[in-house]
Formats: sequence, C-alpha cells, structure tokens
Amino acid sequence: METPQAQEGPVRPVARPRVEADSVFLNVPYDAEFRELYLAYIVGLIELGLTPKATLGIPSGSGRLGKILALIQSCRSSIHDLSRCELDTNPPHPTPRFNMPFELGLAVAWSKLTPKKHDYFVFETVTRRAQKSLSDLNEADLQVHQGAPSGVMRELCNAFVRRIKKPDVPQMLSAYHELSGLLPELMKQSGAQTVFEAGMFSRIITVSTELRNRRLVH
Amino acid sequence: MGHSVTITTPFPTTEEVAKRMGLGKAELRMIQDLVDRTLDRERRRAGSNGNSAGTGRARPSRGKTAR
Repeated sequence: METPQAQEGPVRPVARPRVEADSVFLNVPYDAEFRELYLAYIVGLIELGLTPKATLGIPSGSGRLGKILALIQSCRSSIHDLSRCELDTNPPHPTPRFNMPFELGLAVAWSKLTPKKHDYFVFETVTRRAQKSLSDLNEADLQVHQGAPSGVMRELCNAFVRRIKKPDVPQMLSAYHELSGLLPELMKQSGAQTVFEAGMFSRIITVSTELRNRRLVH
Repeated sequence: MGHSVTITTPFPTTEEVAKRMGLGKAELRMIQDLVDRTLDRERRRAGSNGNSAGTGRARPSRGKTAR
C-alpha cells in the first residue's frame, strides 16, 4: 500500500519564499457559521495595516501541502482559530476537523526553527478548551474572542501592536459594518456564491484596504 | 500578558494591495467605484435621517433648546 508521503511526494517548498513583514497567515474555518468572524479577522488585520493570506487559492491535490507550508513561511505571523475543531457531521462519517490544528503544527514547527521570522497566535472562543484538546500547546498564549467580531478585534489589538495611527476596537467595528454593507453588491458584481471563494477573499481585502485608506486621508 | 508583534511597516496603498492580490486595474476601478457609490449612499441616508452627513451624529436641534 502506498503511504500518504508517497502519494503526496516529499514536502519541499520550491524555494524558501521571501518573508513579507506585513503578511499574516489566516488559518480559520471556511463555513457559513464562521462568516462574521472570518470578515472580522480580515477587516481587523487590514485596519492594523496588515495583509491576510489564506489557503483559499491553493487547489487541492498534489503539492498542496508544500504550497501551504510555503505560504506560512512567507508570512511574518500566523493566526490559528481553533474554535471550530469539533466533529463535522456531514456524510460519509462524522469526523473531527483536523486541518486547522494541522496547519498550526506546521506554523509552530516553522516558528521553532526560525523564531525571529515567525510568530504564531492561537485564537479560541472559550478559555481552556484548547488547553484540554491540545495540551502540548500549553506554552502558547490563547487569544479568547468569545465568538464575537468585537472580541476578535480586541484580541488582534493585543496580538499586534501598531505605534503610529493605532486603530481602536470601535473604529475597527465601524470598518467591519462598512464592509458588511457593501458586501452583497460586491458578491453580485463578482458572481460569487460565498465569501469563502479565493476571488472574494482578494476583493474583500482590497475593498477593506480602500475603505481604510480613505479614512486615513480624511 | 501574552506576547505580541510590533508592526513597523507603513499602511500599504490600495494599488499595492490589489497588485499583491492579483487584481487588475479594471477590477480595482470597479472596487473603487463600488466604495464611492456606497459611501455616497450612506452620506445621503445620514442626511435624510436628519443627521450630519458623514459623521452619523444628530444635527444640533433648533427650536426650544436654542431659545
């Protein structure tokens, strides 16, 4: 029987990518119930002057793992939201959602190998759950957002500190509501079905950046 | 107190971000037009609700309290 490694091939990024100081690898669930928090992460990071990156544009299949690793390596920081690692009850079998903790493991390894090049942050809805389900990670600080966009933004401000033109949570929430207001039209124009499509991810980031930059000018 | 990362990079321009996201000039223009229209609509709505345009604050009332 062929091992998973044989099917995937050796995991080796083609060349070690250049680290972008303002890029943040965003490791979150892509499902409807997480929509508000997903948008909150994007808007919050952009308000802080950071640029989120995600695996949305990476096709499944051969080489995916190497591309995910390369994406993590290209980011100065990463955010891993473990709040929805529960059982996925969709057929054929109820299964735990391993992708997020798996990608966290990749980021932890990369951070341990190159501590000056990568910082990772673990976000959760409730306290102590991640310590129980992933006790190996007890050394990490948890950012607990209580499942609310305002909580996500508060914890982003705790994790990332901007000295000049530092946004506050009300300002970030205002940007979040602005984005939410124009999202239906953006989706219609883009012909998108969900906000979790790779093209929408790029457009949401660009719209949020434009909104922020207009506010900074005024 | 947990650890944190200090951000030292400047805010990127929309053009820089759009380029990094792989969006072309036409798509960027479409996005900027959409933002224009939405913000205009918000300002008009704020105005028709009796609020000061752009700020969302209630316009100072005239009448009894002014006398």
